[in-house]
Amino acid sequence: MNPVMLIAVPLIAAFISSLFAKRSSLLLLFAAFVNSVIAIAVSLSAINGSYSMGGWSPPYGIELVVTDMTRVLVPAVNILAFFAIVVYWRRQDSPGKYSIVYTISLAALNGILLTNDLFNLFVFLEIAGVSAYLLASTGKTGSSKVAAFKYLMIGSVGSILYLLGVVLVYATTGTLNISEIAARISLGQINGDVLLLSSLLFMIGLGVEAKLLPLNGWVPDVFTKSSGPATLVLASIYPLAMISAFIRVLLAVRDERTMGAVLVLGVATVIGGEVVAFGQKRLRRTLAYSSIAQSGLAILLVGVGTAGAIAASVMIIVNNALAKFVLFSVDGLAIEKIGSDDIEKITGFGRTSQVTGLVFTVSALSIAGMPLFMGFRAKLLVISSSFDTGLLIPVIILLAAAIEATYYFRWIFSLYKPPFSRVEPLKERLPLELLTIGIILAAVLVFLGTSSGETLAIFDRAGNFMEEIIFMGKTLIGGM
Amino acid sequence: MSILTLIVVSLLAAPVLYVVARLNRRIAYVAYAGLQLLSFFTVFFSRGSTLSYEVIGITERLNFNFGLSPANWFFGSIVMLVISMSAVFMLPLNKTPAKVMLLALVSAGALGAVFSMDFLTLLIFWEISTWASLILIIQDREKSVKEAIKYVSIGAVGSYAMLFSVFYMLRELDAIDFSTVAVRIEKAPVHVQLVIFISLSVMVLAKLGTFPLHTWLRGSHSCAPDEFSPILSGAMTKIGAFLLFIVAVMIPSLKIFSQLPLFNGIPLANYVLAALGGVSIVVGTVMAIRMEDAKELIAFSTVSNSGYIVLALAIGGTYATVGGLMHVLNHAIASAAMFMAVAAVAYRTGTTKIHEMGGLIVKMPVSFAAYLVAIISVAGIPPTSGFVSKWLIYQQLVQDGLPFLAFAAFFGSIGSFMYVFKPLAGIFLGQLKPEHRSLKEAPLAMVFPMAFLTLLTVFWGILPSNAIRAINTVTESVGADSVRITFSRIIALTGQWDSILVTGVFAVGFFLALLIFMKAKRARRVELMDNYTSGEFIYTAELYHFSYRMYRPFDRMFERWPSMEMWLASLSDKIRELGHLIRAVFFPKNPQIYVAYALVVLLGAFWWLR
Amino acid sequence: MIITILSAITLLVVAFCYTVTLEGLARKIEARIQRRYGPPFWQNFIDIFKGLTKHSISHGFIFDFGVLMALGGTIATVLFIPAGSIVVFPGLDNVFVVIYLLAIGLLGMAMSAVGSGNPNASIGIGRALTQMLGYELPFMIVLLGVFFHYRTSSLSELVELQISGGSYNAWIMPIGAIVAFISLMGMLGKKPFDTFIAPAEIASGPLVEYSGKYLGMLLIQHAFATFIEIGLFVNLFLGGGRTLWEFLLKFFLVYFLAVIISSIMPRFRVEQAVKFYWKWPLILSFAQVVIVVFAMGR
Repeated sequence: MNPVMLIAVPLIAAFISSLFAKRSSLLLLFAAFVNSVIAIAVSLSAINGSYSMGGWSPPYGIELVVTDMTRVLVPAVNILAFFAIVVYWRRQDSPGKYSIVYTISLAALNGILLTNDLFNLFVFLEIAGVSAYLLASTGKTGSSKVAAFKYLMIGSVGSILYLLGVVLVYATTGTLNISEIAARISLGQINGDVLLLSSLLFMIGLGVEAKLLPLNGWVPDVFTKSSGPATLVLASIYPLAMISAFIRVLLAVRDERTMGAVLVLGVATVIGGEVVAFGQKRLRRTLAYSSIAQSGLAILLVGVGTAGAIAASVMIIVNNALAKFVLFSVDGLAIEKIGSDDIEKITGFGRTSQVTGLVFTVSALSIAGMPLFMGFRAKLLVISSSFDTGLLIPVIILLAAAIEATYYFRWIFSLYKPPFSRVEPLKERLPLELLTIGIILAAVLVFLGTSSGETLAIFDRAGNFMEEIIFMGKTLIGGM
Repeated sequence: MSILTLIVVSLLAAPVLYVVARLNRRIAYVAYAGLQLLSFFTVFFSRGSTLSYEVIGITERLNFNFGLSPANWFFGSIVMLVISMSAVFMLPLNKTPAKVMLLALVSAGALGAVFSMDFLTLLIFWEISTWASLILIIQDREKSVKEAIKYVSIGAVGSYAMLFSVFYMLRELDAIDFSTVAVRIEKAPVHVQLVIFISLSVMVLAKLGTFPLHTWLRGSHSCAPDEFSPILSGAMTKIGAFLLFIVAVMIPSLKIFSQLPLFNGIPLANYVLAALGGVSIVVGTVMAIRMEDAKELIAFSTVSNSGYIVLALAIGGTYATVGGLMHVLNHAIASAAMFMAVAAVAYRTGTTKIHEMGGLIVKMPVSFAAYLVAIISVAGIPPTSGFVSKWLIYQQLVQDGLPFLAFAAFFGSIGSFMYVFKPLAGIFLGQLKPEHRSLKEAPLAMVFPMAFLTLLTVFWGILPSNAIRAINTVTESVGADSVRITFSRIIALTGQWDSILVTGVFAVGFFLALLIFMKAKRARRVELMDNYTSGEFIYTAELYHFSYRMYRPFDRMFERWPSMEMWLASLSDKIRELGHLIRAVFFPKNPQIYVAYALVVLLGAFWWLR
Repeated sequence: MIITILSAITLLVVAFCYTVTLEGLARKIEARIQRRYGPPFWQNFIDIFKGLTKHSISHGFIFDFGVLMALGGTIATVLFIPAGSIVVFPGLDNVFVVIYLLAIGLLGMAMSAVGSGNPNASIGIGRALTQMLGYELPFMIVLLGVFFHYRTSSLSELVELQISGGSYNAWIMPIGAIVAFISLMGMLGKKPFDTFIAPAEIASGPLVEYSGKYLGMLLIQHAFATFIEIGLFVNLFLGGGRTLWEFLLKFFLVYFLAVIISSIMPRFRVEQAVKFYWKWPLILSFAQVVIVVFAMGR
């Protein structure tokens, strides 16, 4: 199964939607569903290797590459996108006239995950970025448009810097193929300063989307103000692709000094995210800052650079995707039913529906890293990898984790605390889709948390993906 | 059945019990109690050799390791005894499906933890138990949320310190199971030894509830559902004692740190730990004396007794180690019994505030008896088992010549008379309130566990050799010395004590007193309100019951003591403020600043890294 | 076995008669210091027997049981005190056992007193317990030094070691002996440390509701407790006695000293008493034990 279908199907659906505007949401659902099926097929059956586009073999043509990491992330992205659409299908917050944007973003995200060409990556980043700006503006209030505008500003700057990096690399290596670039750099063919500058440019350029401090100012407002499905997509699905891009590019254009900078900024992001999240009184904002912190964790592992660290990074973003999906969904539900997600107002919400409270708790505990859940296995891997850099980093991560556990538990308690008056179960029916999908995702988190080591080997293999890439590159260069 | 099967069954029982409880709560709780009793009997009667199962892989190199060494058996029996007794105890109380599921998780985690053979298994199962207990704590009372948050943060500090030490151990010693670490750590450089010791000690202090990480006990124990407080205090903190045993005794800390400067003959690392235990004894005792709520009082008593355990196991030596282990046993039983008695009273009266009750001895004599024996044990008076452990610890302190630690130990012991007496006087003795006139004794399901624990306390007080023989096998299994005992006598280097003799003499004395009592003239029974009142008439019982602020003069002496609780609360505020600062700097309103940051970081990084 | 029983009975009888007599004598001495005549020295015997032979009231089960526990525990403790040549349980009379058995007595009386329902009694008990925290601490610290020095915590062994060593602890550890004596006065409940009785303030505190046989039994208990406490001090610091008479003589001297000092003193409030004990006596006890542990060694 050629993975290009993953990009083609949503694109075609998008084009058709532009003609038949009324059917756009249906087309979106259809595209997402088909993509999920294809994604699973690709993940299970496709062989690791490259798929060239248009008959032009690399390095002259664009190629899509399937590695162990793509095997993990591609189904995650597509299935979660499908779930996101389903969850909001019948509610007032549904994609509606923005469906075409969702469709295009799905295509772009898949493109980011699959492509092995730097400029192609830029194109997809731009498409995904523009979709993101539009998605960010879907909120009901005017401030959502302002938030989207801020995102637009910093995102554009990031894209320009990324492009500058691409130009630099192209000028020095003569190729845009990531594998070839990785191979050349690992053989030492690039000047040190050029390498440094280009990797820094990539770090900043991709760091905007990857929520690196101090480039992540757009995150809180965007996540808080945009509409339900948009937040789901932006918060749980986008990081999967964006951080995967960050990992691939920075490991390809690898400079040890930049890795140090990545490490430092990653740590700063984690600390910043957790500390600010600690003081927030609204659930959405807390989750936004927590997302920043999780990204920071994933990024600093890139800075560590070992295979174990990359595996841990992938586990973190998958855990984040699954759990944040549920958390943001429950939050959306609370806002819809109660009107606000303030910590005072939301007390006892978990008791109105057993399932809601349960899935929220499971997800929150998974992000906080409690055993029995996937987040704990991820955390074990994170700590053991971070010891490679000395003693300071693990200590800082653990301190931040302590703060994180505290505020997540505060939210769990708040959800369960019996308020002053008796809580009656909500009279209206809760959306069945949300409950079902919530249960599915929670079950996945528990399963991955308690399954034996073999299941997690997929993540370990994902961590090793770079070797394949470099190997492919070396064959391209001609086996020097 | 094997221990492994038991652990797996307990884990799986959690969701099953939840579903059962949705249908019929009573059956679910009875099933839970049955499972705990079964677990206890399985554990208690499986005193075998060390078996090790390597099961589910955690990551590529690490597996869960369970085993049945004497230490595992000892701590497992204590933990399961308390949990099973509490499981029976809670049958009449408020039942919900969520609670029984969380309780099942707590028990499963506790089982897994005490039967672990390596640090990571211990940590994982302990954590399961911890987060389940956190959610359990907030189930009943409104104000429990704030208190539970303290438990979260202090518990997280401890857990992550232990997680740090696990991976540090893995790097430096390439092993995380207890026995291998104990061997390899002796050859490791000093800083490695100290880092491991300190990080594990942080976990011990946090989970036992010892100074300076003791502030969570007060709120969590007192606000937890009444049926859960015995488990928190009697079982879960004792897992901390298990870790302490491993860190201080199994890993021969005295031998390892003997290169460090000695203070009073004890290596500095151990002495600092013991000193923290000593401070904990004093702080716990003083604060307990000042409390007005029975459960908060017992919570601080737990702080104090945790200090004893830390002190005893840290200073090492034959008597202190055996005494410390025995104190784990004694305190688990006594604390559970105390909480149960208070819970029984609260079940009937609806309150745990001491000054709102009084004179309940006539209505609830069994609860009174259970509470009385428990407090005698905590105060360390023969013929209860509490005396044995204290006596052994004193012998070690005398033998080593440790005046400052001995001061703390004596302070705790004598001060405990004060605070254990207060609920006794306030709740059970004195004037009965009119609204409590129609109370009945606690239901049988509550009476039975209390009575059983009381009998155990008395049994091991009269015949401590039974318990000490078991503890001797534990210490011998890790290469430490054991205490010489005969059937009724304990022989230490600095003294001997014959428990049956003392009990016998006490019985003789009592009998003599009884003789005199019988021979003298009969007394006429008179109402409690009929008192010496200097000729006044009184009608209201409440005004006549002295229990509120019983130790006010003492309380006044400590009013201006620095409070650890306030210090930690202010720490939380500081983090919040830091958050606001970061938010103001890095998340401003204007996008231009973001762009500026991007460029600054880029240029700065390039310039710095060239 | 027979010897044990015989010596036990002898000890009880001697302790009872001697202490009650001394109590009477003390009243006489105190009176004379205060320029009164005072009652006859056998007055306390009369009081006890009068109490035991009168009807009285009882406030319930715990009221009775507590008194039994108090007297029973105290009688039991007496049997562990060596009195010169009368040693009932040589080698097994650990000081900690003595102190804690005494605590049973105190606990019994406390339960019974509070069980009477009179708030005066509760106030008195509260003060007694608080004060106990005051005087016990310096005492126990000094004892730690003594035990460390002699490597034993058995009373009879300590007596033997002092006698065979030739010098009493009072000369070897003078500071400790003084501190122990001050604690002793607290233990005995003599002025200035009698706030828990405080006759005029809280109507005798714990004893307020006792009359008849209860009062009689508690007076016996008080006598035995006095014997135990002063006996402890004599055995620990003054070398006990080679014979019974030597012991009784030292006993009398210590008691006499305590009575004289207390007869001219007013009363501390309970927090004043505790603060007092935690200041100089505690500091001195630490000083003493530091000297013993570090300088003197074993």
